[in-house]
Amino acid sequence: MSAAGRLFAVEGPDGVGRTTLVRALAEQLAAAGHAVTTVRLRGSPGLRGPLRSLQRRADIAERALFLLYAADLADVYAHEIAPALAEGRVVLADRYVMTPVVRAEARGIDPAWACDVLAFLPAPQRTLVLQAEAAVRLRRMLMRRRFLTPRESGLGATYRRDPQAMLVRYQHLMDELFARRVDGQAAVGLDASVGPRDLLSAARRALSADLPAPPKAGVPPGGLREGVKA
Amino acid sequence: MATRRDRRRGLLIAVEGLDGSGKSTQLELLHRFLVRRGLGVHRSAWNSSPAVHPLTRSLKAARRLTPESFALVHAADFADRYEREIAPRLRAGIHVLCDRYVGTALARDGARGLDGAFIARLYDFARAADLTFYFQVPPEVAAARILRSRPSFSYYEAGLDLGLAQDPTTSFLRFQGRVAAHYAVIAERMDYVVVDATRALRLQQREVRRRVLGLLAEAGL
Repeated sequence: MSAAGRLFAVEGPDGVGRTTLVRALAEQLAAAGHAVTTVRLRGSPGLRGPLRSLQRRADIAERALFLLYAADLADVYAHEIAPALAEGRVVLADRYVMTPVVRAEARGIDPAWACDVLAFLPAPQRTLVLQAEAAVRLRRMLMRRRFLTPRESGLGATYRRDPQAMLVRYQHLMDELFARRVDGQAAVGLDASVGPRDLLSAARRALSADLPAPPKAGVPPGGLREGVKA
Repeated sequence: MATRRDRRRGLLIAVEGLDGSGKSTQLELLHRFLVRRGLGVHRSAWNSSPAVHPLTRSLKAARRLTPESFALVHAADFADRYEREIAPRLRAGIHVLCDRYVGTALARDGARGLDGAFIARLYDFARAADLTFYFQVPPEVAAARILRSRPSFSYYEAGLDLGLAQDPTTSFLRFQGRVAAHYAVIAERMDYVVVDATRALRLQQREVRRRVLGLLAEAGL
């Protein structure tokens, strides 16, 4: 089975540390001799820019936005994930199907419908669901960026006047919906309120049983391959 | 079918057919006819969401769409128009004329090899049209009409993404032949009114109006 690639997804709400973890995990796995490819949601060249600006607009139907994310995933899958898996690489997805489904559900779209729409995408070998309570994540978001975005504050999900209160309420909802999807088997919850190093080792532990045997230590044949950067 | 109970609900009328079948012309004539009769009517065209369409256009220009991503961006455009343009009007009792509706996705994405059940699921949030006309025309006639109005076929319209043929015209005929085959099945299953689109415009429009007046009478309008 070592010829077949492995697909691992890292999911979770805003500010939970997905991207940092994926980057560090990719480096470690590559150093251990795995050929690694990282990909990200909103990673397709044609949809990345438009989706980022649509995210900030209220004049698009939530269902349409979800379908555009699905199109983005279809593109990333066909052009990046599938070829990497065929080469036997380990693919780390910085968000895959769970995040779009949870966001759609938070905005009143039937999650069964959303799952059916994304059913053409193969399930990952394992999904790591990063969890940290909204207050922790809010602090991280405010440390990292100058402004919060309307969608993080639940644009489309809640309509409170106070954006901060809206954000907390919406992000609590995200916590709950992600938690519901953690089953400890296919989707493993990782406490992401810890520091990045502890989170990285927890992620390594969670994936260790699923990884193929590394070809040999040292410089990997395929090396570390990064997906398209934003 | 609309009943008396739906008196205040707008009627949804759609036209389907190959590119070059003349369906948009027929819909425009119908639109004017209904407006002259004093009815509140709105027209919505496939692929025209202000939020989504610019994106679809650039994705098509880049020629990178897979059958799945092609289907999904078109569904996104439809979803945006359905939820923000079509459904609110139907609820407000305004009639909506759709230049292409779900049948287009079923036929085109089906011709690209996607599973019919998957396509139907993508669109199952939308209600069925009260009346759908299918303007039936052989692909050869459609091709000739298109080439009279512009110099060449567009990449996806000719199905060039599928590698059916190198030559655009041959590819167009093969791809649109497949689309027409899907339409034939859908028209039968979904009770479309099939209009022979090779006949004179005037004769086609007469049939369209007769059917629409019948529907309005049935709905008590």
